[in-house]
Amino acid sequence: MYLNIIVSGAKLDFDPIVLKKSLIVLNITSNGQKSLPIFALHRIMNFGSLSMKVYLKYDMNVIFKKTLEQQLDQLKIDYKINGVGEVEFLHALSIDKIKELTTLLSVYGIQIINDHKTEVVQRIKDTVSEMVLDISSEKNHKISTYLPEKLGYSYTYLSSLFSESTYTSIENFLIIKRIDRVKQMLIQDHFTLKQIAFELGYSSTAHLSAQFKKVTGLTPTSFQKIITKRSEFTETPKKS
Amino acid sequence: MNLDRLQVVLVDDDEDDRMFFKDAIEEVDLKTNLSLFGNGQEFLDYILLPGQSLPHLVFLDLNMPIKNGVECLEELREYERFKDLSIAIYSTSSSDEDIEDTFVKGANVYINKPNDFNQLKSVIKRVLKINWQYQTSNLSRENFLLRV
Repeated sequence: MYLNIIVSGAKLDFDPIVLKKSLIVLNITSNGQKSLPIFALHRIMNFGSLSMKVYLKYDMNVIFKKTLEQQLDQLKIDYKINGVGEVEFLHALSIDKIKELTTLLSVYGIQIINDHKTEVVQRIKDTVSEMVLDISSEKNHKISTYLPEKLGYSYTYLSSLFSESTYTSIENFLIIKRIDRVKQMLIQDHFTLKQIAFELGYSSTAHLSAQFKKVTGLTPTSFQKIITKRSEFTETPKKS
Repeated sequence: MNLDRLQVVLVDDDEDDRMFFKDAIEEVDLKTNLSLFGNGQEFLDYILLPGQSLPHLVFLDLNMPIKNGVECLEELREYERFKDLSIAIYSTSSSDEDIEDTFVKGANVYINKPNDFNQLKSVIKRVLKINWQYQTSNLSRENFLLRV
């Protein structure tokens, strides 16, 4: 037999096990003409004892939104849902209320992202970017003293927090960021390697080339060649 | 910071290679979701469906029947919406011409298929990690080139 049940939203308020195999072909849709009340379904399905399979179609976003709404309503919180994964509280919540909400949501595998972490990581990235742009600050400061000075946390704390949420270390990020700057200087500003090495405080051109090769797998020269060729040959995308 | 699963696609016609890659990525200590496709056309048919969410990274084999890696790469780059899609060429070829050609045509990463399992694992890990930096930090994507 065939039984197509399309459940839109999470309105599945009968136990699928209750549904028994039947010879009747049913088409139940949540808003279609052929829709049957649930009790009728029970009556029709209740006479057989053969096993059956039911395929369910569902929408994760609807389930997520509905679940979230239920929990927030339960705690009588005023909120606005801003797209997937972001909620705005219309009034500031007490710490106890946040704790309560965290516990309620954890049952459904929903986590509140620790905002402090996200914020500190962003501030580290911003500071590193500043350092790479402002050469004088990089020459005069070691990153392990500069970051704590600027952000007011110990370097140990900052590095573990950073590694935890970015798949890389602060030192590595600095190198990636610096090579990104080297690329820009090569392509946009048409600097020579010698000039770049001097500007960014590398001890030598060889050191700069070696670091470039290590990070990108390419020499600065072949990188430059590829990007130049690419801009000559490729057109801007036409299709949307 | 959103550390959800990284959505990864591998397009490769060789079943052994696909399994080898799948085993390797599963052993890498990063949370990933891998989708597999047998040739470029299969992947294009999938990714061009309306409302399809973009993967974080696509690995493309070069030599495939029906639609090979370069054709697939070129076709993807014709679309504005795939402009920021990271594409890694995953090939047995290590000729400088192939490497330069695919970079010029818009690839971000070029990987020589390693034969050694542990090497493959570390290559995948390195590529995923660096790609993540480009997706979450203010780095210029048009200059994202990596040869492994």
